[in-house]
Amino acid sequence: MFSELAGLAIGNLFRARARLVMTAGGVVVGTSAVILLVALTFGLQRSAEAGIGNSTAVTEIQVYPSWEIPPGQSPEDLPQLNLETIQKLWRIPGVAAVIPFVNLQVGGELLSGKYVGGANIVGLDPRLLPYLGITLEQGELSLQPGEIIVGPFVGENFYDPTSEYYEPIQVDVFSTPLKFHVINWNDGTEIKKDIKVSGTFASGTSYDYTIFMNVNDVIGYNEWASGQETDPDTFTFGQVIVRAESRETTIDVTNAIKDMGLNAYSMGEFLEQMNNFFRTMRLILGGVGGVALLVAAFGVANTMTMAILERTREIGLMKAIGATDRDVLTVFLLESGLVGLAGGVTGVILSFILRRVINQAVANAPTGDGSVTNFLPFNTSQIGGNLIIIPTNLWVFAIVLATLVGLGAGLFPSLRAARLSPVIALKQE
Amino acid sequence: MAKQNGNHNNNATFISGYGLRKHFKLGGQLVRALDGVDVEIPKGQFLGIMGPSGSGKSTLLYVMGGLDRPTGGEVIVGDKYLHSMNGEELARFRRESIGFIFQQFHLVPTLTALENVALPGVFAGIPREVREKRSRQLLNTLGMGERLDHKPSQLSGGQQQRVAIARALFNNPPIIMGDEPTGALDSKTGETVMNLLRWLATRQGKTVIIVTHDAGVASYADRLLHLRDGRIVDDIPAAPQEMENLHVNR
Repeated sequence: MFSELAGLAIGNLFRARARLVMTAGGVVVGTSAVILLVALTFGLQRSAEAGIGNSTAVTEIQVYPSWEIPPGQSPEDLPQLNLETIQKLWRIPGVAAVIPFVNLQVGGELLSGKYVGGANIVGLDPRLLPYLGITLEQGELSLQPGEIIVGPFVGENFYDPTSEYYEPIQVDVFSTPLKFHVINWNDGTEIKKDIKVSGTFASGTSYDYTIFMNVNDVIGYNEWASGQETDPDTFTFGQVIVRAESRETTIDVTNAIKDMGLNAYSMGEFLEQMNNFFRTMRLILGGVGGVALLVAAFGVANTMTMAILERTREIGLMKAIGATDRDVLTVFLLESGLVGLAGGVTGVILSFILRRVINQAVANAPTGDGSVTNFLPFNTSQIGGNLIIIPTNLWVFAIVLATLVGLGAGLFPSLRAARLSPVIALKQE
Repeated sequence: MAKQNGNHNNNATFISGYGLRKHFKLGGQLVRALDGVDVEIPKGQFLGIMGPSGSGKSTLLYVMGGLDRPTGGEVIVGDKYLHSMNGEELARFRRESIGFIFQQFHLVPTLTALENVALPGVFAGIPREVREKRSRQLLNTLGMGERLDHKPSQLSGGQQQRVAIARALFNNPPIIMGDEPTGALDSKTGETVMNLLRWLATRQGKTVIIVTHDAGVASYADRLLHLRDGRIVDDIPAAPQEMENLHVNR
C-alpha cells in the first residue's frame, strides 16, 4: 500500500520539474550551509588539539595529595601518595598505568669536566618507562642501576661554576662521560659516581628538564643522606602520574581520583573545556546554517500550498475513487518529504565537493612572512589541508534534518489537502 | 429487454434513502439542497435524475454515493448504513461499491490512459503489474486499446470519458454514478457513452445512476426522478419506445 502511494508521489514530483529543482535548491543551500559551518568547527577543533601537543599528553593525569581538609576530618585522614594509594589507583577502571615518582631528597647534579648541569632528578621503576609517553631520540629505554634517561633541555643548560658570569653551555650528554655528584647538606659529605646516559628523548612533554633515574638508586641516595632505612608503611611518593587507557576515559579517571580525596589535573580537563567551547561554536554556526534551512522550509511550504491549490480537483477525484484522508495526507507528505530528501542528498554531495575545493586551497596556500595565511585565525601547517572535516554522522544527520524539514513544511498544506471535502474539491474550476 | 430485467424482474431494493436532507448556509442564507427525499432503487436499474440547476440532483447523487453527507435522513446501500459511517469507512465504501463518472472527466493530465484507469488500484493497494493488466483489459473492452499510452490531452472528449468509465469500472463496483457524463460531449459521442452505460446495466447488472438535464440522455434510463427545490416532484418509468435507442454495439 505504502509503496503504491510512494510511486504516485514520486510521479507527481516529476510533473513540475523546474519547480522541484528550485524548491529543492533552497534545501540544498540550507543543508550545505549547516554541513560546511559545522564541519569548519571540526577542522578548527582538530587544529587546536594539534597545538596542544602529542596525544600522550592528553591521557596523562598528574596526581597530588590534597591540601583541603574535608569538614569533620583531621589532616591524618587525607590520603597520601603512599603504596596503598598507588594500589587503589591501579584498580580504577580505564587506568593503563600508575607511575609513581620518587624525588631525590639530596642535592644532585651532573658533572661534565668542569661544567655542572642541574635538573629535576626523579626515580622511576624501569618497567613503567613505556607508559611515560616519551619518544626516544638517542639510545634505548633502559634504566638499569647507574643509568639515566635525560630530558632534551638538560644538556643545553650546563654552566661553568668558576666563571664570573652565568652562561649556559651545551654538552652532548649522550656521548660525553658524565659523573653524578650528590651532596648531603646535613653533614657536607658528597658522592661522585660515574653515570651512563642510556637514552635521551624528544621535547614536547612536561619532562624537558627531567633526569629519570632507577628508583632504587634514588632510594639508596635518600637512605644514605638520612641514615635510615626506608619504611614502606610511612613512605610517600613525591608525585604520581596516572596514564589513562584512552582520551575518552581520561575525564572519568580524573574524577575517580578526585573522589579518592586526591588532587588530579589532566590535559583532558583543559581539552574538555576546549571541547565545550567548540560545542557552543558548533551550535551557533549550525544555527546560522539552520536559518538558511528554515528559509528553504518556507519555500517547500509555499510550493506544497501552490501544488495543492492547483490539484484541488485531483484531490477530490482521489477521494471519489476511494482514497482515504490518510492516503491523501500520505501522498502529499511523501512529496514534501522527498523534496527535503532530494535537497539534503544533493546538499551533502555539494558539501563534499566544496570541502575538497576549500581544503585544497588551504593546503596549497603560501605560508611564511607576508603571506595572507598569516591573517587566518589558525595555523595552516597544523590544519594540513583539513580545515573542513565532515564526519559520517554529520552528513547523515544533515540528510535526516533536510527530510524532516521537508515533512514539517509539508505538514499543514498536506493536512489541508486531506481534509478537503471531495464534493467541493471536484467543483473547483 | 433491459427494462424488464432491471425494473420488474428484480424488485429487491439495493439503494435506499429516507428523509434525506442537506441544509447548509451560503452567504448567510439557508440553502435546502435536499429537503426530505425518499427513494428506493433496485439492483441493476438504470436511473436518471433530472431537474433544473440548483434542484439538488447532484447532491442526491453524491449523498447516495457516499461522497457527501446528508444533514438528516438515512442512506442504506446493500447492508451498509452510510449515514453512520466514518470517513475511513466511506472511502472504503466508495472504493469497493461506487464508480464515479464526471462531466469534466477529471482525468489526471500527467498520467497516461493506462495509468488513469489504474489509479483506483493505487488506493486499493493493488500491485503495479496487476493494476496495469486489469487497466489494459478494461481499455481494450471499451475500444481504447490503441491509446493506452496517450495522455488525456491527446484524446478526444468521448475517448476521455471512455477512459473515465474504464476507471470507474476498475474495482468492479456494483454501482456506476455519473454526474452529467455527456455534458461536455457532442451529441454523437454522448450517444456512444450512453450506450456504454446502458450496456453496463443490461449486460453486467450494474446499477447505473446518472444526473442529467438532457431529456435525450434521460431516454436511456429505466426510470426518471425529477427534482425541484430539493424534493422529488416526479418519479416515472421511462417510455418504452424510447428504449429503442439502445444500440449495443460492442
